[in-house]
Amino acid sequence: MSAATLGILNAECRTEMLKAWRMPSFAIPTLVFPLVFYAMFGVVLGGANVDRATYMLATYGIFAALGPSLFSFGVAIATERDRGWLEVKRASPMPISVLIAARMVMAMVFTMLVTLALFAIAFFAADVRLAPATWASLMALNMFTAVPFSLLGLAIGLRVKAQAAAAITNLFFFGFSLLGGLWVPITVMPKIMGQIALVMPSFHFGEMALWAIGAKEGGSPMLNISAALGFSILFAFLAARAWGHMDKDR
Amino acid sequence: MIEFISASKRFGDKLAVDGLDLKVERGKLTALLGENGAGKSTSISMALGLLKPSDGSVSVAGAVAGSYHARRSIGAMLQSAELPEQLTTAEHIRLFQTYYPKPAPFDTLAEKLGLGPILNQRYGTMSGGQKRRVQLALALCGNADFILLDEPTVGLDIEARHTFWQVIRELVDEGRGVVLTTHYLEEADALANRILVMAEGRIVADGSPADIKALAGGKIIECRTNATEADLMALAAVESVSPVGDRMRITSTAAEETLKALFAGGYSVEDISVERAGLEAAFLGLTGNKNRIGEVA
Repeated sequence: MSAATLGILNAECRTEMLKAWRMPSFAIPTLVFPLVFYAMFGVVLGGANVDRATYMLATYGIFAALGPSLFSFGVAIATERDRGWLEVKRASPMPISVLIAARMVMAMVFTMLVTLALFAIAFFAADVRLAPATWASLMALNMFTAVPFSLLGLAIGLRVKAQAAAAITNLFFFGFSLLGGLWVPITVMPKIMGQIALVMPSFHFGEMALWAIGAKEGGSPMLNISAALGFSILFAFLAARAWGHMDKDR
Repeated sequence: MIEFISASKRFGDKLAVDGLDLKVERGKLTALLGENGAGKSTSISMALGLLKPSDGSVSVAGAVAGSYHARRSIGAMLQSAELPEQLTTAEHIRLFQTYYPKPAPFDTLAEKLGLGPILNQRYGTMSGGQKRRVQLALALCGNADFILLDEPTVGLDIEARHTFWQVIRELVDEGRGVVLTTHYLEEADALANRILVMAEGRIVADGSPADIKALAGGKIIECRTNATEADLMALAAVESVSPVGDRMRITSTAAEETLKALFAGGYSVEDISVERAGLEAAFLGLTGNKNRIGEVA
């Protein structure tokens, strides 16, 4: 990557952060939902039970990664495409891949910020104590999770109009969260939910987080890791297809 | 140079642009004049590389349209592009400047376009005219050799339109090649060195503003006469003369004056027809018209 391209990437990253920060309809759900839900279901309703708060810290961290990635790509890309802004960018000399990279960085930074806030709630309000390596691996996992879901968001954002994109993105956001056991553990839900969860990408990322904090007993994380990887490849494929669809006239 | 070589664009069964041949040189302003759906924006999109020609080719500064080198040589203002609302004018321009190797100096650009009062205003809170100015700023901030403006003055009041015209004239004076699309003959006339009238994807007239204005604004007199072309050119209000078969076609900005002078000159005159030109009547729709105008141009 040339110095000029790096300069553009830097400028785009800052711009994307600024735009996201100034857009309450993006910033509030992505920042506030995970924190309020975690404080509520993970800490307050559990009577500040450490085990519960720790368990939910893992799954709510994945939930925190879904918001910025799905919305910044699904809704925002569709909106900018509808408004003709994506065309202006494509006609400009900036490599459009840099725009995608900048948004991905933005989604990861937002995920990092929310994760830090989740850590703070867990640490101070529920006395959650983890080994430094465990904190770090949760953080890394959450930030990494933003990548495949950004790609899914991109596939949506490049395909459909803004209004439809908002509806579809919300459906995925809440569907993945609920059915993937990010809000309420799958183990306390009816058995059928456990089977549905297996086809939810969010479930496998959540399970990886649970492995990371040592909340899983027996078995092997390999199934979850392979499934998460599989879904990531699928989302990358869908994004590439949507990209080719948009670019077919170029 | 931006060069269209027999460039066509087909959408399904419809030919949006049909075999466009055009060279846009630096230091000149070429206006594409026509109604909605005439193929103006599609042509612009092909020059930007946003659409690939179905046939023929489009190149910019020797590179295939849409390639990095081509995009670097063009600044564009698209017809229906809205910028992200959360950013200010200054933020938009500074970001866009990073895309180009030798961007235009920020302060000069801001002054030229009168952006001072809105530099720190967010795009979403601006009036229509202010938004257009920011869009124009993005087209110019790269200091590119070619500037493509797709209906840049739509929705502007007269004063703002004249400010835009002034800026556009300066671009040409600086030696840039400018392509402008417009619905308004007046605008093309005020700015262009050359006007191409498009209808149904094809160039139906191509000439200087004077040629086109004469065709569009004046009347077309046809008659059989023993007067020569030179005789006719000397008559009052005549813009152009061309023989068509055994008849002469005279374009006139004031047909009554021309006819009066024609009769007063003592020439034989037979079989006269006088037809209003007007942009639509002159250029649009009728195939017969296309041939006729092609000859005049």
